[in-house]
Amino acid sequence: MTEQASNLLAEESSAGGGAPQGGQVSFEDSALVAQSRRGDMRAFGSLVAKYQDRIFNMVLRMCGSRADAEELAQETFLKALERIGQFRGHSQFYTWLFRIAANLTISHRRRGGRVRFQALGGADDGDGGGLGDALTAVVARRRDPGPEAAAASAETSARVLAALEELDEEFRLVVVLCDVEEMDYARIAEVLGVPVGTVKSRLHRARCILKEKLADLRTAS
Amino acid sequence: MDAHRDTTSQDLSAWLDGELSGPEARRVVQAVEADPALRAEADALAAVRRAVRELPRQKAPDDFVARVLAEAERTRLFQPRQAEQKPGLFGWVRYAAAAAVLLVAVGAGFVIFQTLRHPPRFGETLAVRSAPRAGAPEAGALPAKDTHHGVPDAEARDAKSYVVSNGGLAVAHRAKEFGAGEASQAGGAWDIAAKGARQGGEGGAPGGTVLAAAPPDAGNEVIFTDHLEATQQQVETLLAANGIRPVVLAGAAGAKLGKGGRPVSRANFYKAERVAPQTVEIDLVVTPEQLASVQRELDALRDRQIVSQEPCPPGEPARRTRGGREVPLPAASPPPAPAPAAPPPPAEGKLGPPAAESDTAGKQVEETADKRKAPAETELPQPRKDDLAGCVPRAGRPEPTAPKAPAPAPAPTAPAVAMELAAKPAAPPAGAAAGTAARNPATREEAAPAGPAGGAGGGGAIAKGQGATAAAPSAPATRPSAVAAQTTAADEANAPVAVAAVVQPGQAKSLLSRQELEKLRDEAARNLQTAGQSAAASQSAALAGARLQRLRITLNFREPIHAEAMEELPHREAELHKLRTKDAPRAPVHE
Repeated sequence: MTEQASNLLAEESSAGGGAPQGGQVSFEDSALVAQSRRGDMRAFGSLVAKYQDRIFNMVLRMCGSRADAEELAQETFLKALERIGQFRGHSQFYTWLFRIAANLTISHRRRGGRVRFQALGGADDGDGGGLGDALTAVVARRRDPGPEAAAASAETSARVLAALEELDEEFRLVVVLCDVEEMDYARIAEVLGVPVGTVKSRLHRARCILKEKLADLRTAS
Repeated sequence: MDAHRDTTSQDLSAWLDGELSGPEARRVVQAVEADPALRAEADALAAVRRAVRELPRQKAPDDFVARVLAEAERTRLFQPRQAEQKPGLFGWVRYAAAAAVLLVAVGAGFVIFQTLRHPPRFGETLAVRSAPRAGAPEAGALPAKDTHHGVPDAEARDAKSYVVSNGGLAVAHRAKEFGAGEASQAGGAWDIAAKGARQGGEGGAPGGTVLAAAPPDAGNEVIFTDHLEATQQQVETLLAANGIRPVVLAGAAGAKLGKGGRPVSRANFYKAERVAPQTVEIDLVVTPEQLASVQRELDALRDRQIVSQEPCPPGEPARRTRGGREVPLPAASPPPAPAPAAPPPPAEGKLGPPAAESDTAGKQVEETADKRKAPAETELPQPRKDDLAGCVPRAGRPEPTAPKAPAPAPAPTAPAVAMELAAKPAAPPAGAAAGTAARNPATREEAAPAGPAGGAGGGGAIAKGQGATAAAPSAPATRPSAVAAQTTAADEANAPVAVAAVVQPGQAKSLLSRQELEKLRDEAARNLQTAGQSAAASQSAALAGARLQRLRITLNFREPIHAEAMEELPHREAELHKLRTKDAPRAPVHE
């Protein structure tokens, strides 16, 4: 079920003009970046539309609050636009974008949530109560697996998110980039600016911690 | 085996992510198949990985793009960037010009940084000699008494030639100062201009130099240091704070001349010269007020100096160290003789005969200097207790009734000295006791008022004039004396003064903190202001040289001054001049 859901989400994302998956190279990016440098608003809008979900999802998994995630994602794109002149194309644009997002998110978390973003639209439901909402909606649109499965999935997701929340930032970020954004180690290392070996060790350490925290969940399943 | 398993365990995550190479992956597979525990761990990690990957993906709000673009437009982030416009033909010219300006700025910044970081050393930037003017007498312009440290007379004359004017003094009077043979130079050969360090000094922060006091070397009072830069910086700062600056010659970039080619003098100047590979002498002419201030501040430096880390052997008199040699302290220090009447001022404009020529009149200098100095001493911060440890010099103030040490005989190569450190007699047991007392504040407090014996007990106690003690009866008894006022000069105006401290190697601490130095600077600035007013008020007297005093500070370094540093001088002179004169305080110019 979950695999099907992932596929559905991926299809949904692709259908909505989603971003390429990790490791893929978008040849459009360079042209859009160049146009954005010249002040082309539509080109930059295309970049935003292309990566908004990935950035938003990554930030949401990091900060845990939808309102904060919206604000941080917006700030990420604005910061990227502000510094787009400094982007030399030595790395993928989305890698550079994720680096900005990661830095902003970490900075936000280090402020300890003292600065809370106010959602501009809609209620800030966080992610704990709305776990699986998007998945449920998608599933409801395509199939109707039944309320029990959706509830079980929501509960599992809540547990996983809670465990993620307890991880240190460096561990959580690696897990998010690897397992949520499905980046390979080299890409993660590029985003974080650390060696691949560091990514490897951090990821293993993070998964070991999660394994301990989710032991009962694995037993139940 | 365990190590191998740990390694394999750490590879499990990478294996699950497909990040291992073929051989590595095969090794992990084999290990997992062979080890049930490892297999269980791999299953658990895979479950965790799957659980995270199954988290639902959230989508950004539908209006996210519009919001971002609206915010970008509101904050004017869509302004086309000028720097990113394709440069035309002239664009490259602009870039080249900008690069050139940047290069110059960086270069200038580097020079300034290096200069501030490594201030000019004595004997390096200050040992600038003027070529004797054609027609000027080569010899005899200065009396032989000015020969010092084995430096030939001609060299000594050159050295003197840089002792320029006092603030408010006419340049022409230097001719009288240095003899008729050089009078003709007053019209223009005295190509000296101020390379004044900024008032308040530059750099200024003490760098942890090791200074330690030691008894005078028969009139030569020296500062040894293992840290040349810091010592230079401190002394130069000290002088600059008192309005005394080094000089440069005409021909050097930025040298300013007044009417008739005479230099524009803004304040006192001094000349520092390397008279030996390890010795730099600073000659300067100062007002009495400046003299007192400089002395007091040098004393303040010495008050924070470590004298010696070696304890005095019980029962042995304290010994003082001079240049690595131990010198037994004098046996007795008689009290200063009553001050005779003040000698008449010297002939106009003449700084006078060598100090060694008269031993009696100098006592007046001693008393006068101490009277000037004593009140200020009480205002100085107390030295740190541990700085006073050791058996050499820094001892308590001698009691009025203490026997005065005989005036040390001038060294054969030394100039006459008006003021010097003079060791108090050290009775063997008392000397040892004082050595201990120096480390124990409480003991020192008790020992100080113990009368002549107690006062003289400090091995290396510094002789003070009676007037000084009388003038400052409330001075703390535990405070080591400042520079002793032992005069051998003919009169106050003619008295060259040497102030000394000896740095012992390997004794690393002491010195002023930044706050203390700032305090001294402020005090020096006030003194300078007072001195300037005094000089202006009594200009005629100053012109006559009656109120001038010559100060000589000898810096003896443990190691020879770097020759290459001397060679750098011509290249750095202009930059240093520019740097130092930029914000130099402008004192009234009298020509």
